[in-house]
Amino acid sequence: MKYFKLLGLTFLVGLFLISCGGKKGDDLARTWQVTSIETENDLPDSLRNAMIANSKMAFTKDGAYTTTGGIGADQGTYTIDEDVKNLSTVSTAGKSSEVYTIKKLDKDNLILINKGNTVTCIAVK
Amino acid sequence: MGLFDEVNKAVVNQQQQKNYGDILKASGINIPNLWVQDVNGTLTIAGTVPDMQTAEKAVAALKAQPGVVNVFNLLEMEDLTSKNIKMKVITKSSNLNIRKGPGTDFEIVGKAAHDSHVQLIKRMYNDWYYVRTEDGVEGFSSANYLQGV
Repeated sequence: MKYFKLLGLTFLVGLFLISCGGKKGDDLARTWQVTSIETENDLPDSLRNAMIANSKMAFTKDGAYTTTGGIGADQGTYTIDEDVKNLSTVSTAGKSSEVYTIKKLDKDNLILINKGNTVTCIAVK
Repeated sequence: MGLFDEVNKAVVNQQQQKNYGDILKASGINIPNLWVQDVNGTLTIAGTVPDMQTAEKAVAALKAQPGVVNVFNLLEMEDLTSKNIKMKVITKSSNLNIRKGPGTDFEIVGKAAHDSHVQLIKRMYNDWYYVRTEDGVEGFSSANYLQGV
């Protein structure tokens, strides 16, 4: 009986560890399609739509990112802070760095804010 | 650079356009399709204006702004072709010279007969209009000898 209790406890602890194993920040490591752009100042719809069209951000687990499309083409490295509130990037071009506020991040949605501008993305399946 | 650098740049640029537009409006100039680019104090200005005076006034207004070193003028005169504005040649009796440029020093490229009509293409200056004669010759003619029909 004692053996079965120990086995059950081990199973539960194992299950707990598995469920908590992935960090929330790991959700970022995928390709994201930009679906909307909200800006601090109004932009002409034509310009906004041109920036949304075919704009993607791709993050890999090894800490690299690539952006393409109307939002700008760039690549570099990224880090996410412990509480998944800020995303920091260092661009390969010029080694310039930026910090983005993570408004939302799960396996399907990503919303980033920088300089008052908000970019919403959905995960590319 | 960054994840959405072009978005941030577009917003800054849009704000600049608005600011420059406000400066021009304060000088009594409204350019609906105004585009201004600032590169280290050198402004490039583009858009459509009704005449050259407005363009010169716009350039002067922007040049007077602090930090502006130079203004590169790409403003274009409004093309009035589609409006089909006819003007009558009101010389005393002679034909009106159509010239290559806006001044009597420029070569004569054609003539418009006394009492004939020309089509106004662009109001380049107050004194000189760019016109097309009934014979299809295009060039500059003195606005003093043209009257709206």
